[in-house]
Amino acid sequence: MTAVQEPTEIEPDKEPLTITMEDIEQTVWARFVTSFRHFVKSQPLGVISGAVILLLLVAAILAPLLATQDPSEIGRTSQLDSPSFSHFFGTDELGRDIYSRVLYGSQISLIVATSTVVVSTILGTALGAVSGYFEGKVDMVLQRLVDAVMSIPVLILALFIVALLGSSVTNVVIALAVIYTPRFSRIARGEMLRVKNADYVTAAEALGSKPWLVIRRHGIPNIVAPIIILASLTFGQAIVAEAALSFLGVGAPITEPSWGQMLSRGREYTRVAWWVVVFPGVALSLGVLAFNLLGDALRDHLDPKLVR
Amino acid sequence: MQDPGRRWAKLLALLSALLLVAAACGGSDEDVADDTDATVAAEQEKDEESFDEKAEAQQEGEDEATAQQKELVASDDPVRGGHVVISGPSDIGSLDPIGSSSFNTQYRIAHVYQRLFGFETGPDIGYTQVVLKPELATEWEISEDNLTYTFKLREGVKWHDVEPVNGRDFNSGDVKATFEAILSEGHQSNLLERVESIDTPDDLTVVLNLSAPFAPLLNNMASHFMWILPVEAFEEGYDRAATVIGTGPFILTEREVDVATKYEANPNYWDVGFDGDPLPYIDSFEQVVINDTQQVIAAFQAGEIHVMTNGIPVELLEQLKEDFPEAFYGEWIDAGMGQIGVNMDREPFNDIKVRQAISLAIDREGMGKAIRGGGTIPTNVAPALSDFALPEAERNDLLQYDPEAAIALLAEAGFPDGLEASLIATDRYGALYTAQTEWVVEDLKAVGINVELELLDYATYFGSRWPDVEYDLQFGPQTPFLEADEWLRGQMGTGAGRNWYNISDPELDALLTEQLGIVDADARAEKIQEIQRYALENVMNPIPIWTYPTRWAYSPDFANFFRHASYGFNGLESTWLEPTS
Repeated sequence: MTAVQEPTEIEPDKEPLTITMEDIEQTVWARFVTSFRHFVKSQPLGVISGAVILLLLVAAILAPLLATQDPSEIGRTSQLDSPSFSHFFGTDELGRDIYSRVLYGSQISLIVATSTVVVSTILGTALGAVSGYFEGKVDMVLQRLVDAVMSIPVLILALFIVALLGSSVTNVVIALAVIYTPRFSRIARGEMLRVKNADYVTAAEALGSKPWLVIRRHGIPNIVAPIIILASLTFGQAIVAEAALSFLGVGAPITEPSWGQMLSRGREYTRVAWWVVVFPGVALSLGVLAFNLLGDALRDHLDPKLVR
Repeated sequence: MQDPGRRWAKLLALLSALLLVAAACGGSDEDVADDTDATVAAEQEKDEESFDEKAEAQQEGEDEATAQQKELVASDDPVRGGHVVISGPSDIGSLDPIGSSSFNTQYRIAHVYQRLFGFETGPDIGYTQVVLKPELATEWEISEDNLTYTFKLREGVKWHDVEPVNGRDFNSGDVKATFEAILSEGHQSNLLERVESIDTPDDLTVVLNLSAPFAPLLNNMASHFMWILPVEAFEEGYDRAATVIGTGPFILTEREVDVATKYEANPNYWDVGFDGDPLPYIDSFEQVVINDTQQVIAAFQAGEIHVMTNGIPVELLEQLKEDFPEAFYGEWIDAGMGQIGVNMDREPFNDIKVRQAISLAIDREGMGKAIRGGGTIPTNVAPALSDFALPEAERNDLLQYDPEAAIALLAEAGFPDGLEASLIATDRYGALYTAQTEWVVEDLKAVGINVELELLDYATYFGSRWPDVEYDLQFGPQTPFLEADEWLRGQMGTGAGRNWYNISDPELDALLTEQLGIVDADARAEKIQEIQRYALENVMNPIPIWTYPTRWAYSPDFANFFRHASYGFNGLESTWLEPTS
C-alpha cells in the first residue's frame, strides 16, 4: 500500500500571492519607463519633435515673460522695421513687434489645437466605442452621421460653421472639434469591434459586468494606442486649420496675434519686408512638422507589428 | 522597422526648418545694422518734417498729380474702340440710387444714369473743384426771391433701349417722378429739402417751388446721389436694385456681385467727341472686384487693369512705381474723411466728456503718417472743400492728441478705471482701413476704453448696423460729400438722412437751418465754419479722425482722364486707349 501522500500544507511563512493597486501602478510605471526608454532609443526624430513641441509649449506659457513688448502695442514710428536688437523679428505694418506676436501667436495655436484635440478625442472615442460595442442600430445611426461629416471637405465645413457662429477662438475650436471628432470615432469603433471579441471581454461579460463598465474598464484602455497616434497627428492639422481660418479672416479676431492672420496680413508686404511673413511662417511650419513627426514616431513605436 | 531612407527624409525636413530659423535670425546681422541706421535716419527725417510742411508737400503732390494727368492727354486725336478695366476692393448688392447711399452703388450706376448737372473735369480743374456741367439740364433760372428754380432740359436725349423703357425720349416727367421719389423715400431727401412742389409746364421744363431760400440746391443737383431715373422705375415698379436704365454713355450689360460689372457704349448717347462722332470713345468697360493687394498689383503690372482704385500701402506703391515706371500715379487729398461715430442713445456715450475723451485718445497724425503716408486732420466738413473747411492750424488745435487729458476726462465722467465698448467696422474698405481701425482700437485701449472690435461684412455694416445705429462706436470712411450742408446737416441734423448717430441738438439744428437761407457765399461759408466750431465743442460726433491722400494708378495707354472727387469715373466717356507700341 502506498502511503497516501498527505497534501502539502502551505508553508506558514509563505503569504498567499496578492496583487495590490500599488503593485499595478508600479508595473504600469515600469512599463511606461521601459517603453519611453525604448522610444528614445529607437525614435530620435520623435524625441527631437517632442523637444520642439516642449519649446513651443514653454514659449506659449511664458509668452508674457519672454515677449519684449505687448503684442498689440503699436509702434508709432517703427513700421516695417527689419530685424534688430530692439525687435528680434522686426516689426509689422503697424510697428508691432513680430517676435512678441509670434510668441503670443503660439498661445492661440496651442490653445486651439489642444482644445480641439481634447474635445474631439473624448467625444470621438466615446462615440466610437459605444458604436463599436453595441453595433446594430446605434452603430448604424452614429456611423452614418460620421460618414456625413467626413464627406464634406474640412476647410469648407469649418468655414461654414465659423461663418454661422461668428469668428472667435471658441468658435474655431467648436468648428474643428465637429470636423475631427468623426475621425476619432471611426478609429475607436474599429478597434472596439476587434477588442469586443477578446477573451477578457467575454469573461467580463460572463461575470455579469454591465456594458458601460466593460467599455470603460476593458474596452477603452485597450484601444487607446491608435487614438494617441491620431491625436498627435490631429494636433498638427488643427494648428494648420486654425491658421487657414485666420488667414481667410474668419479665425481669431484681428486684434489677436494669430500666426495665420500674421501671414495673411503680412503677405501684402512680402516684397518690401520678408520678415513679416517668414517668422510666423517658420513658427507655424515648425509646430506642424513637430506634431506630425511625433505622431509618426508614436505610431512606429506603439505598433511594433507595423512594417513599412 | 522604419525604412532608413524615410527617416533621413524626415530628419532633413526638420533640419531645413531649423536652418530656416537660424538663417532668418542670424544671417542678416549686417543688413540689420544697415537697415536700422537707415530707419533711424528716415525716422529723424520724418520727425523733422513739420506738419505744415507735410501739408504743403501734399498740396504740391496734388499739383503734381494734376500735372501728371495732363500728361495723360497723349494727343488731341482720340482713338476709338477698346475695353477698359477698372479695379476696386469691394461691391454691393443694390444698385438702387434711392435706396442705397453706398459709394459702391454710385460707382456702378454713375455711367448709366445722369444728373441735371454733372461736374466738369479737365486738366485745369481741381479734384474737388465744383464747376457745374450741364448734363440733362441745359439752362437754369433762379427767381429773385430765390424760391423758384426753373430748369430747361436737354432735347433729344433717349433712355437706353432696355425693357420696359425701350429707348423712349427723356422728358420732364422723369425728373419729377425721380425727385418725388427722393423726397418721399430717398436717403438723399435732404438734398431737395424745402422743395414744396414740382411743376412740369412742358416736356422739357421742370420748375421747383421752394418754401424758403435753399442755398445748396443748385450744387445739390450735381450731387452723386441725384441720378435721374425713368418714370417707369416708379410707376411700373421694376426692381431698381437690379435693373439700371439710364440716359448715360454706358449701358449695363452684365453683373455678378463681388466679381464684375460690365458695360457697353450707348450707341444713342447725346454727347459728341473731338472727332464730331458720338461719345464714348471706348467700346466697353468693366469694374472688377479685387480685394487682394498682391493680386491687384500683379494684375495692374501685367496690363490687365487700366485704372487701379484700390488703396495700397505706401511701401508697396513705391515699389510698384519702381517696377512699373511707365504707369501714371496720381495722389489727391481725399474729399472724405474717416470718422468715429458714437451712438448718442447709449450710455455713457451720450456724455460729451466721453466723446471728447475718445477724440483726445487718437493719435491722428501718428496714424496718418504710419499707415497712409500723409494726410490731414479734418473737422466736420472735409478739408478738400476749402471754402468751408476750417484753416488747418485751427483744425490741428481743435483735435489734439492728449491721452492724459482723455484719461482725466473719463475720470470726470465717472470712469476712473476706464470703460468697455464695442466698435463696428468692416474690412471691405481694404487693408489700410483695417490697419487704421486697429490703430484706433489700440489708442482707445491706451486710455482705458476697452474696445471689442466687431469686424463686419460690408452689407451688414453699411446695410444695417451703421444706418440703424446698432453699435456703441463705429469707425470708417464717410462719403466725400461735395456740399457742406451734406456734411453738417445731413449727418448731424435731428432726423437727417445720414444722421446715423442719434444726434439731436436743438441749438445745432437752428444753426444748420440758418445757413440754408444764406444766399451770399461768403456769409454762408462763415456760418458753416461757426457751425463746425460749435459742433466740436458741444456735440463731438461724428468724431473727425483723418483725411488721407487717395491714390489711383492708370496704365500707360489710358488717356484723357481727369479724376474728380464726385463718385463715379467722371468723364469716362471722353477717355480713350492709346495704341500700345
